[in-house]
Amino acid sequence: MELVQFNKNGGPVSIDIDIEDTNVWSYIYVSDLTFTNKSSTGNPSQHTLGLPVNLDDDINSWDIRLGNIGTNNVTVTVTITWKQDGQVLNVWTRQVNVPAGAATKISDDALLDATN
Amino acid sequence: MKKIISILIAGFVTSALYAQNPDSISIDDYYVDFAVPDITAFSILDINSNDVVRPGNIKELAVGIQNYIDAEGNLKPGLAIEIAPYRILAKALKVRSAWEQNKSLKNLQISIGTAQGDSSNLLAAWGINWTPIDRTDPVASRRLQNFFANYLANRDSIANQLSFAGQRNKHLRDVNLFLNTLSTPAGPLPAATRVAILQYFGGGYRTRLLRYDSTDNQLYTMALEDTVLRKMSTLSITINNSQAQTLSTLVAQNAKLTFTELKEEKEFEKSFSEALKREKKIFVEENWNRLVIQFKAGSKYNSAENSIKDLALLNWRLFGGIAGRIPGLGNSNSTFAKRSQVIYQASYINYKDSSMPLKWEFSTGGRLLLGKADKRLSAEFLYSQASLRGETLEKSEYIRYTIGGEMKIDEGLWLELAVGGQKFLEGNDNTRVVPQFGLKYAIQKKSRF
Repeated sequence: MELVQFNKNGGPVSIDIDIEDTNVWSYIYVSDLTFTNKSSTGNPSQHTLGLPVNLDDDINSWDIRLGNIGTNNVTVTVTITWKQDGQVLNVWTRQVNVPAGAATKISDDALLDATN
Repeated sequence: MKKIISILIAGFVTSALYAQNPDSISIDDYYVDFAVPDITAFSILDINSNDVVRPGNIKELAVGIQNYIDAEGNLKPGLAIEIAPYRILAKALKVRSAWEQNKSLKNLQISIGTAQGDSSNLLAAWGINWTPIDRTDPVASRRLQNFFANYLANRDSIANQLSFAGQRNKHLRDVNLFLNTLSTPAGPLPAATRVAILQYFGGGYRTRLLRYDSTDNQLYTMALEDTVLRKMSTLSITINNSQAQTLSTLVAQNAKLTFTELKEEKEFEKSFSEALKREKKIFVEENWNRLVIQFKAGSKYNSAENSIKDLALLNWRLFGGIAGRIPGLGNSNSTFAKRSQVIYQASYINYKDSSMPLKWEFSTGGRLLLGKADKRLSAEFLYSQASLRGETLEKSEYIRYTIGGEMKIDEGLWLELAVGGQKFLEGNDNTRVVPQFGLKYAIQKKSRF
């Protein structure tokens, strides 16, 4: 569980989701809005959560699914970075072992908190 | 299936016993040049593949090498490293996206190894394997990658049903609302305090099950409630009976969510693996004869003084191969196009070791296959030239040919049956290694195009 603190007088809060070392993934990030993405779209994984006035005391949850269609185990690095006005608010990073020919899911949550 | 294979093998053995010259040797001698050789430092030195280290970055690579080669150039046995330059350089240079566009570099592997020799000497080897194009590889198939990305994504977009992330989010919002009704003597709970309690309800279901060391719904409920109450006590939070009742309801909701997710995720993981096996099989059946280009090189050294300074070259080897559909049929949907493959290979070995009977050997040839991914008829032709060591400048030059078939028994294991022979064009016919003509069989574990 992460605590993401942001400036209540600042600009919109956004997230970058980065997944390294696998070609097969998908995620769902649930806040007031729900963001989904998957490796097949090839789209950048950047999303705007919203303005500070709407984010205080908000809960965010995410499930990231990782697939390994190869024949060797792989270690996948997953990172979520929360940003506001170009500043990094928080970074969540996990390294996940995905066995050959298998899929796994990694999940976590955050509480967003407005500060002065 | 096993019974059929046993009967077939017994039949082949019996027929071969009658057909073969007693001096003849296995069909490996026919096919050896058509199996794709394993040219890695580990195969050259007979190092167990389980001992191979695959560093993910330059720091890990440097540490791995430092343990076996010191600053003075002294060598120790036991080095077994395989490097994928794509991964290491992409991370070091932070140019991952640029490297990802160049797919051909992804399949480049460099291996280095050292091993103890027969006496106090040390052996060293390196190998390079590069497959710039492999359209038969299901793992590299963008279509298959996208299929399974969609497979994963569809699990979280079930119609008329909240995803697990959505259900957990709703649950955590309820827990957070409850926490906002509580207070300490200092006032309402600050965000950090709420996070300290919310963490017990959030995260992945696996984490929660591990946290409470429970495989049973009731035990889980008791452990979670007890953990939360103890945490509240350490944080000086007191709750009344009504709030205790609300907490119990939230804990029960959490247990239900956790065990539902556990059951469904296990089923999903199983279905993913089954779907992967099915789709890979279909892919291989449809693409077994697509374009593959492969290059390999390797070298073996001896060091009498266990030092990098006195490494003496024993031999080096080059291999190149290309396989694919018959030229002109690449985009054809005809049965012949789908069920045929041509292979061309060339191999060169140079022996610096004076104890070897050959100075060098070059071979080149091709195969024509007709059939399917797992069973096919084959016709092969090989030309070889070698230089013999000794006082004479004699050369050996011959052709080999076979017609037969092969059937895949298991991953990398092939049953082969063929007739063929060897004809010398130049050199001493007494050095012939296979009969002039004969029926041969073999079950061998060799890499194939």
